[in-house]
Amino acid sequence: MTIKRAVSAVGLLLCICTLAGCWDAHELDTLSIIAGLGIDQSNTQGEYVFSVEIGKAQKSQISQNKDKQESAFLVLSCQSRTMLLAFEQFRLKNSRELFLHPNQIVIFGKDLAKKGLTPLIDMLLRNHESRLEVWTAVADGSAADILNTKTKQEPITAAVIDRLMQNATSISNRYTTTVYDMISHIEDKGTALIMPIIGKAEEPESTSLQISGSALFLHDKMVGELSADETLGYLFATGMHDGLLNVPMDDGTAVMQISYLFSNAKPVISNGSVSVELNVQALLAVGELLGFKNQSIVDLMPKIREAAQQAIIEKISATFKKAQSYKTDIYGFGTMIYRQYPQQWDAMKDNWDNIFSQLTLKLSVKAQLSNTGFVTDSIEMKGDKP
Amino acid sequence: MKLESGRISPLQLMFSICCVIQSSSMLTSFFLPVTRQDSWLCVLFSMLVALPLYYIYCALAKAYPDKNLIEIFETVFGRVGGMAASLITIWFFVSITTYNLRDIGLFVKQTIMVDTPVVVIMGICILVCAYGIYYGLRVVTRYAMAFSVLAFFILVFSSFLATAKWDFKNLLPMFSQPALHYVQSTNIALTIPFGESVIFLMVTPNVKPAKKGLFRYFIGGMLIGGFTVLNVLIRDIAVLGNIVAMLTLPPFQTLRMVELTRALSRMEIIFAVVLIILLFYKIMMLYYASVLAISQFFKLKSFRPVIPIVGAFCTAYALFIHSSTIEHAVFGQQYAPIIWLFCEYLIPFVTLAVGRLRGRPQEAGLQRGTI
Amino acid sequence: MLRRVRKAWRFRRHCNQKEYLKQDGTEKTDSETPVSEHLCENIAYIQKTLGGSGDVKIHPFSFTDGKDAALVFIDGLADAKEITQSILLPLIGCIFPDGKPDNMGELAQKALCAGDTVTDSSMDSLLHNCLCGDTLLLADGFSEGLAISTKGFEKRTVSEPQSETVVRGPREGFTENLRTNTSLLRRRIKCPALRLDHMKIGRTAKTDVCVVYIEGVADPKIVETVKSRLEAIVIDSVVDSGYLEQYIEDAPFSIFPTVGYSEKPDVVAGRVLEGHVAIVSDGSPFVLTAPMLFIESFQTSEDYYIRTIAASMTRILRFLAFTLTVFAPAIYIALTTFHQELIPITLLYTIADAREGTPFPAFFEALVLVFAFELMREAGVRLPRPVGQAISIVGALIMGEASVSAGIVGAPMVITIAVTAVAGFIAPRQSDAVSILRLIAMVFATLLGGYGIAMVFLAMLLHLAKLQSFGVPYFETVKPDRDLKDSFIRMPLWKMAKRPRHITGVNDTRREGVNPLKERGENRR
Repeated sequence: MTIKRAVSAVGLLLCICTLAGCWDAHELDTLSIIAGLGIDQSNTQGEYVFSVEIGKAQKSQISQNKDKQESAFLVLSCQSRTMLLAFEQFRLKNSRELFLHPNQIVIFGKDLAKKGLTPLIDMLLRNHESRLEVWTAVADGSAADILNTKTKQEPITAAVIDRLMQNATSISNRYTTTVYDMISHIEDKGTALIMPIIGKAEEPESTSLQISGSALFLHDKMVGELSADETLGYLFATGMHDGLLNVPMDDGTAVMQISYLFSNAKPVISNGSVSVELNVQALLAVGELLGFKNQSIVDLMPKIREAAQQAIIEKISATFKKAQSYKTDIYGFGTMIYRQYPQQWDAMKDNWDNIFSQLTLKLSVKAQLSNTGFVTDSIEMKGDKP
Repeated sequence: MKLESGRISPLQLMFSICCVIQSSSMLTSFFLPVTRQDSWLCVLFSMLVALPLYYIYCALAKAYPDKNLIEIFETVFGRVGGMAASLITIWFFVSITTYNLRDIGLFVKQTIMVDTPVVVIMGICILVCAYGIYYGLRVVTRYAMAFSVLAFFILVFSSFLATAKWDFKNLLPMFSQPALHYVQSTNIALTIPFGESVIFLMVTPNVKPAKKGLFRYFIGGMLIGGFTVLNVLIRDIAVLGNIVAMLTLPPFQTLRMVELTRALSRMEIIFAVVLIILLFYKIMMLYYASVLAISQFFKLKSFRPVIPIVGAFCTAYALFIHSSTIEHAVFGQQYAPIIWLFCEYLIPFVTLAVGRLRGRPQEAGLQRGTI
Repeated sequence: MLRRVRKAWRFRRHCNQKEYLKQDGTEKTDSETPVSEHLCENIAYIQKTLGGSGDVKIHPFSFTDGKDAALVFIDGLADAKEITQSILLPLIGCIFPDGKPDNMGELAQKALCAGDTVTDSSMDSLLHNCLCGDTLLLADGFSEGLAISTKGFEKRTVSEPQSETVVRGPREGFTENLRTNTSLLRRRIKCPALRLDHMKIGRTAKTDVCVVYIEGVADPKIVETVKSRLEAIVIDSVVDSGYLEQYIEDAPFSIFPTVGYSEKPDVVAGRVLEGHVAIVSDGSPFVLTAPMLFIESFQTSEDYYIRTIAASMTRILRFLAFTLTVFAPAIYIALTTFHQELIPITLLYTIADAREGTPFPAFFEALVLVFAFELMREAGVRLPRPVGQAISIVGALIMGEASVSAGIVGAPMVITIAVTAVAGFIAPRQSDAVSILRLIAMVFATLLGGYGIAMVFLAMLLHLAKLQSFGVPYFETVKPDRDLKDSFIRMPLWKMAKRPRHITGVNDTRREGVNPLKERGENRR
């Protein structure tokens, strides 16, 4: 009997304990939903400027009455050494508690990216509220500025970037990076980090955002940039699900749709010198044809195929040269060597950047044309025929 | 007089074992930093090493079909020796109960309830466990099959969801690390999920006789459980690649990265719920074994009075045992495997060996005694 | 605590048995009042015992030989026409060629046109029969009385039950009359092994109770348990079978019911054929069935009448509805106050929008709505139908529309509670348990979020595992054997060749499992 009483006493005590407070309870109207996070280099040494974009909840009825649409987001900034300290400041600055979970994007200012990202990894990994699948990007300019851009399409800037990233990912998942990719590639000596650059695009009556290229990182420091076109050369070397290939030819231009593009890289170590065999297979479809007067599509197809292969080779080599010049192994050849030749890798890993810059690339591209779209010969092509 | 009168079927025993092993799919961070991408091989090795271990357990259960572990000790080692062995075993049972209780507390605290005091989390868990144990073995093991099948399917399903992020090249290179690492890792994997099955020697007398012996049920449980752990481990390595060793809860991070569609991107809750249920089952089983062992040791008439005492002790012990997660991990990585090995492997082995050697004279003595 | 309850129960049963015996004994001494040879003494005794109630009719008459006799019956209980035709007419006109019969039995055989008669020399048992609707025949010179069955009271006809309606399937329902009910059962199970064991329960009212089972199919242990529990009841009267239920159930303080009931003969017959024991009580259209399993709450009679796949889908739907109705408000609370990260981002903004400006915490919102819903349900049940519609209008308008636009509760919460409420109607047998569980889950979700819900769920499972109904596990987890065929899914009837494992006693094979397609020699496709 006494034991049972003891049990019920303990039970009651626990109940009282629990009833006294619900430690983790936060009603939704006490939270500021963070949609995007921007980190910039500050003027003060060792400090960063943290900017958060907060999506505002608005009673739909109220906003209807107002003529002037109130902005749906709010950007707060503060200067601090670490993210948590910054959050502590925001706590005193903001009427609601910050809620980082729904965050969709982390943007780094260009200056910060050039200084190095390593100090930030810990903050992004240790906090239980930060997630690994959040997009990362480098801002063309300052991150706070990007977050502050008002676009017409979406009410919240971070949502714009999220959509941009999703579109880019549907072209190739190497196009975009997440926090996971960032940390994984900074950790990994055999793969260099490449991150999309988000810039502003000025339209006649509004501003919008665009992915303007890619940032190349040597370890954790941004060392160079690829333009959007050069980024394509990188994607051709690593595989794509979707995308377009512009094939300029002597008597016209063919725009090819990429059904898929599959690449297979194989590092070869012989006599101490490293080379990589890169095989690219592409399945293309004719998207648009411009020009090509008086030619039949049957004769044209092999020519286009040749030209397309040539175009892919050119793009890949151009980008590869640029990457070599920055010593950034964005293709992950080093990791491949580590996986295939772990012993040899041990000797190479500390000098990999230099080895990569001397690497020979043996490129072979095979393109296949699948279909021609809804028309066979275009009107322009038929033009002079009887 | 028996403490526990409820009988369970061998199948229930099998799924209980399976559940206990499956629940360790969270604890992969104990050996992931040691062998990194080869950790899954270590789980395979440890499954192999577990075979003779389970053979010992089954041989013990077969040799003394109506005795639980504590009674076996008494029969084999006599009074004093049996007492010593029993005390060590009881300490071991209580410790693993405590450690697992701490695991559930930390897991919940780390992932979903950051500000809640861990004592509340553990207290509620132990209260619910106590409620189940109060009604004995049948209630405790009732859901073993449901839980393990559920866990198996959800974990396998989550692996399928993660297929888009799989990169099996992350498993390369194989066997590139010092051999000692593999031994250490295998040892951890052996002691923490598989060896803990020694607690089932407390319930073997209550298992209905199986036609073809218990061994196949032990092995069945180990295989299902082991492959679930393996599946989770391979998935984590394939998805997380080189950062898997940096994380405290790799499976949780993997699921955070999985998305069904963009709208249903938060899959980790499924895993969290499955893990809480599995860990709960494991704690209940360990708790039950501790309670039974203690009441057997003191030759009590009923195990019920012991329940609140053991529960309160475990909760308190779990609160003060290690001050931080790191200490906990270090203990799990370095000390526990050695100490546990002693309790899980050595004591049963010695018991079996001594029992075999003494077997005949004792039987004769017993007969003389009864005549 | 629970053990204490069980102890008390055992003690109570023990006492009951004792008292029952004592009661039997005392009754014996009382009922020693024999039927006197003098009619006037008997009449006087009757008048004294019944206290001159207005509905007691004593009809004196004389035999042809001038001997006085009297018929005693209760007006309204006995059928007057029947009395005239089958008793009075033959008796008054009868002449006994081979001499007057010297006992009542002979008289009944030779003179009466009634089939069901009982001779008795005890005045009290005769009176009891009279109170059940029989007519007593007392005559000068006989030290026995005759009770002639003339039950002819007004009763409700067999009609469609209100509580369990079906789209497809029999529409008969039990009535308040015991005999009608047993006949409804007997008509469905024309099996010589069908047993109807009668007993009388209630010190004062002596209600007829009938235990129905099929010998050889029902587990004799369960039948024995049911009977012994029924015999142990000490009660004044059994007004409804609900009284019996509360006396014989296993866990009076559990939120889950452990005795089943139904108003439909086809349901009860189905259960009796599976090996359950039915308890029919006079005056109640609800027939109890024991043992009850948790899964019964999710099986309706219609499942077996409609085709397999549709039936299986409905079963799954019901289980989902049960989980939903118990946990939906709790999960909503946990999601919006603890685990906002699990809400898809677009939805998060929507819910945040709705929460904006609502003053109360989510738990309180849910509580208010659940409370309001329970209020309306209770009001709707008790009110006559035309007024009941007003309630639904008030509910729809005030709860749905006004409370949201007034900003007292958020719209998503209203949706959650509405779904919960609708889902709650899907397993009506568990609706009491569901409302309580829902509240518990809500409280723990408020305190500990998802972890609290998980713990409530596990505690509920453990509680279910512990429950037993008449020695049968209440909630057996589904094992991949025959019981699975009639659980989450319903296999074709011809596949269910065995009766449920836990319930049936000796004879657990219904029939051979015959696939009709194969029998016909057709391909399975």
